[in-house]
Amino acid sequence: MAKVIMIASNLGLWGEELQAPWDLVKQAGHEVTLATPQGKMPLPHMWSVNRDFRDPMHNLINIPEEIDRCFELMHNGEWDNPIKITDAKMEEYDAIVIVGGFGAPLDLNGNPQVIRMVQQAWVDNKTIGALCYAVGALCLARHPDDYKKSVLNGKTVAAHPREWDFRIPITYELAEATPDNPGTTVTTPGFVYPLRPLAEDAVGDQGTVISPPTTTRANPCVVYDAPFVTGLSFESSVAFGQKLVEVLAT
Amino acid sequence: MARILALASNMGLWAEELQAPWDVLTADGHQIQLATFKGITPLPLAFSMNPASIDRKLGTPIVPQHVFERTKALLESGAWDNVVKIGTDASGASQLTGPEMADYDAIMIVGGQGAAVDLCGNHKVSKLLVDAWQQDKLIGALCYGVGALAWARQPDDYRHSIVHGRTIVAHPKEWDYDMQIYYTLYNATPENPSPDFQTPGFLFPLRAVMEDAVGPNGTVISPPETTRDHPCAHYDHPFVTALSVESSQAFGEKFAEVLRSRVPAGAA
Repeated sequence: MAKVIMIASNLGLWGEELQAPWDLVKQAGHEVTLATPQGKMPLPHMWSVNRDFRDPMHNLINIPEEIDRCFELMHNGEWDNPIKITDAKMEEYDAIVIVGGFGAPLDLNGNPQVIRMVQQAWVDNKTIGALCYAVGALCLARHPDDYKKSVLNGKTVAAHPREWDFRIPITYELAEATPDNPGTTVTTPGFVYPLRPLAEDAVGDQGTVISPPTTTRANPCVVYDAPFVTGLSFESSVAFGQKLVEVLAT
Repeated sequence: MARILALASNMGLWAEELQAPWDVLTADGHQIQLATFKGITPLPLAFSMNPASIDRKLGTPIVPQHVFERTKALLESGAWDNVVKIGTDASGASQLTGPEMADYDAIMIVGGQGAAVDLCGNHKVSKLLVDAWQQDKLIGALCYGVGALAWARQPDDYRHSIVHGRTIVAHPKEWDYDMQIYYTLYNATPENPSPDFQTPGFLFPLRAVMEDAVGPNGTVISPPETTRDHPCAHYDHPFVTALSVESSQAFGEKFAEVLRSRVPAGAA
C-alpha cells in the first residue's frame, strides 16, 4: 500500500479529475491525503458538475454518475479537511498526483511548494502523476542541478490539445461556493496559458508530447514514462486513475 | 515616427513599467496605442503606486517618488483611458476582433503580475506577436510580459516558440516570490475592479518558461544583481526584452534606440 498525496485547486477543480483517481486509488487500498493551496475543500468548477454541459471545443459531456459521486464526496466528509500544500512534506509520501481544472494554472502549477514537491519526488524516483492542465506543474519543475531543464526534458507526456483550448473568456464559478470558500470572480481570456507549447518546450527536441484531439472517453489518452503518469483531459480521468493504480502496484 | 501597440494588463500593471517606456517613446515622437484585455484603463497595482513600498524580496524601496507622481498625472490626464480591447482570435474563423499588427510598426508588452493572468497566455496576444514576427516588426517585452513570447509559436512549427534559439532577458528566479501575492489596483472602481484572488507567487516562474522556450541553443539573461544603476535590457532582433521594474527606463530607451535605427528621423 502506498501513501499518495493528491493535490487539487481551490480556484476551479474539474470535479471528475479528482473524483475518478481518488476513488480508484483508494479502492486499490492506497492511503490518499488531499492537499489544496488554501487547506479548504477543492470545490468543483460549475461546468464540471453540470449535467447539461457540453464542451464547446470537442463536444464531450459529463457523466451523471460521475457528477453524483462528486457531490457525494463533497458531502460525505472525504474532501472536507485537506491539508495545506505548504504543510505537506514529500518525504511522507510515496507518490504525488496533481489534478486539473481551470484553476490549476492559477494556484497549483506555478506554486513554489508544488514545484518543490515535484522536484523532490523526481529526485527520489517516486511516482508523479498529473492530469490535464496540471501537467503544467511538471513542466515548471526543474532539474535540481540544471535550472535550464525541466524534469520532463526528453520524456514523453500527454498534454491537453491546442485544438481544445478555449478561445472564449473563462470564468471560475465554483459549485457550492461559500463566503469562506468563494473562488474568484476573475475572468481570463481562455485558459491562463496554452499547455501544449509549455509541454513541447519542457520536453524539448528529444521528448514527445502526445496530444490527440481525437481522444474520447472510449479511447482515452494516458502516458506512463517513469516516473511520470500524465493524462490528457477530463475524458481520460478514469484511465488516469487506472494507470496510477497499475503503476503503484509495481 | 512609429505607431506602437502597447499591451498592458487589467489585472495588475506595474506602474513604472508602462510609465517609463511611455514617456521615453512619446518624447521621441512615437504614437502609442494602448490595448488591454478588457479595453479599459490598465490600472497600476496599488503597491507599485506607493513610494513607501519596500520590495518584499529585496528589502529595498521600489517606487521612486517621481514615478508615482508622473503615473498619477498620466492617469489623471486621461492619457491611459484611450484603450482598445485586445479582443479574441477565433482561430481560422472569420471573426477576428481587436487590433491587427498591419496597423502598427511595433508591439510591446509590459509587466506586473497581472500580465501573467490576462496577457501572456492570451491567444489573441499570441496571434499579434506571431504576426509581428512574420512582418519583421519590433517586438518588446518587459518583466513578466516576456512570458507572452514563449507561447507565440512559429506558424509552421508549433513545437517551437518565436524566441527559440534567441537571446532573451527574463525575470530572475532569485526574485520570484515564494509567498501569497495580491492584485489590488490603484483607484479601482466597480467598473475596473481589483482581481479578488491571491496567488502563491507569480503564476509561473518566468525564467524556467523562457529557458525551455529558447531551448539549448538560445540564451536567457537573468542577472539577479541588476539594479537601476545597472539595468538589464537586450536587443536580439526583432526582440527587445528587459528584466524587471528597475530596467523600465532602459527598456524604453533600448526600444527607442532600435526604432530610431529602423525608422530614420523625418521618415514617414
